[in-house]
Amino acid sequence: MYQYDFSDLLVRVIIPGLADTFIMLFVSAVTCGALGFVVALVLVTTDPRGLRPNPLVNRTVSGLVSLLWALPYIVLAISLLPITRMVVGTSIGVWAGIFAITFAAFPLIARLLENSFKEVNPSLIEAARSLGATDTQITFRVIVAESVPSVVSQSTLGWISLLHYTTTAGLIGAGGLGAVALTYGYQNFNDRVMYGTVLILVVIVALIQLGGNALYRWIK
Amino acid sequence: MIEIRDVSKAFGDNVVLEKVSLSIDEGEIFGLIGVSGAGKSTLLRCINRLEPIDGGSILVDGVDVASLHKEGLRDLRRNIGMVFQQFSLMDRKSVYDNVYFPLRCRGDRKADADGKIREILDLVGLTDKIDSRPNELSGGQKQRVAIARALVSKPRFLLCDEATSALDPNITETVLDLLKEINRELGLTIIVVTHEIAVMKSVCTKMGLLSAGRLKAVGSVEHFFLKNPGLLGEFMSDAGGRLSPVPGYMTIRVIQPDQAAGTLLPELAISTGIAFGIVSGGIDRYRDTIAGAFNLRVKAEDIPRLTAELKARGAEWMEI
Repeated sequence: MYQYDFSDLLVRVIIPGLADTFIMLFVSAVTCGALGFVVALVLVTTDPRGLRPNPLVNRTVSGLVSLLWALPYIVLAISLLPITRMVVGTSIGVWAGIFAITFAAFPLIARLLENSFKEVNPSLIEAARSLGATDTQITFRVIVAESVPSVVSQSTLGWISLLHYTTTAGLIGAGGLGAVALTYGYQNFNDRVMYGTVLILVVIVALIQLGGNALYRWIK
Repeated sequence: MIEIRDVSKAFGDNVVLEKVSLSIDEGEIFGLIGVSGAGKSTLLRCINRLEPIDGGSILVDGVDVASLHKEGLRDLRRNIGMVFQQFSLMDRKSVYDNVYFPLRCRGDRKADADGKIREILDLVGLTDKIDSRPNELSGGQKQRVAIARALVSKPRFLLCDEATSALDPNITETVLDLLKEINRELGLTIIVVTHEIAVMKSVCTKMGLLSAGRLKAVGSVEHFFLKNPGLLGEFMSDAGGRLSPVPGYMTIRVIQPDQAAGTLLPELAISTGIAFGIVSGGIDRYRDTIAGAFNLRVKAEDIPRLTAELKARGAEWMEI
């Protein structure tokens, strides 16, 4: 067992790992957010009680979302590898990780947003219809606009889940803090690195939670 | 004018409306009354096609509501304001933005809409609450915002779905006064769905009674309250005001026409010298008139003299 110099490890491994984690976290938040938003709108709109009920579309999309959601992340990411290689050009690194995380996590984001959208009081939607609003106007100016506080409060859960995915992605070659903990901590029997990354992750989770709560109070 | 012809509607196997026909004239405040589940709210929603109908037709100013497509339907809805029991305001928007909403949906810019919004908020008496959020307002104020929102696109009809049922009685009165003012000053035709007696008496010019999806009766408010109180049996425990019969006596119902002083009965007793018992009844305000109806117990042999006197005084009566 070779003992690395800790400050060397910090600068050359942990900090780049943290940077990778943040890149994966923020980029996958954007991709999952966008994909999840579109899917959530499709689900809410085609719901039996939605603006344009469509059982076929609703059940198909809902089924796909549930299927992706049900697969364990590692299994999904590994089975996606050929596609990842085709799209990203490689199966390792941050961008390959983001690609797999997007597929694994957007169902969660879609369900979170769908639940928030469904919490909007149906009588508000009826009132908007009675006032001559189009379906698009109702969707964005009533359903989306009125569910913002609920979306914000749910989004802390989304961010924390994404953080889980980014660290797990590290186990199969995506880099980031997960890879650091695995390679330099666990496999190297280096407790300082191992529990150092744990500490860093705890701090990130706490910051997400505090930030989410503060934003919710401010926006409500 | 709104014409409802043979309208039927069912939710699955549950028949909510069955061949309802009704016409509502320009400038009326029409009360659709009935116990909950009678179908009155559904009928109201059929008028602006929030609910599609299964059979029959609804014509608003001669236009068949069912024939309209997207843009036409939105124009119809802009011409028919609607107010709900639970106010249905957007909590995250200010009073001003809530009222702006229908104009914004129509494509009006804020600068163009500003005058209309302020004018209508002035009409409902909420100028000082313009920047408040709905949750800072009382129930009555919220309903005023909802009324302003329904009126800002200058509709010719206003549908009120139990608009005062969630309000305290004294607040109800002020909202009803506002509705009467709107009806008088803007000439709006208003359709009020309600199960509250006070609402029917104080605003309606005409009423229609729905019972289990059928229209049981239509008529003036006086028709219901004074002449046919039995019709309202579902709402009033003492509608008939009948006591067990006494041998040798008859009960007649006397309708006292608009007579503010309310001295018909004593005048009757003095001029005829007949002693009669007042079984039930009273004088009440119906919209802007004061009228009353009394059930009197009279000796059978006195009936001809008493009714002759009633006829001479122009008062209606009926045996019950």
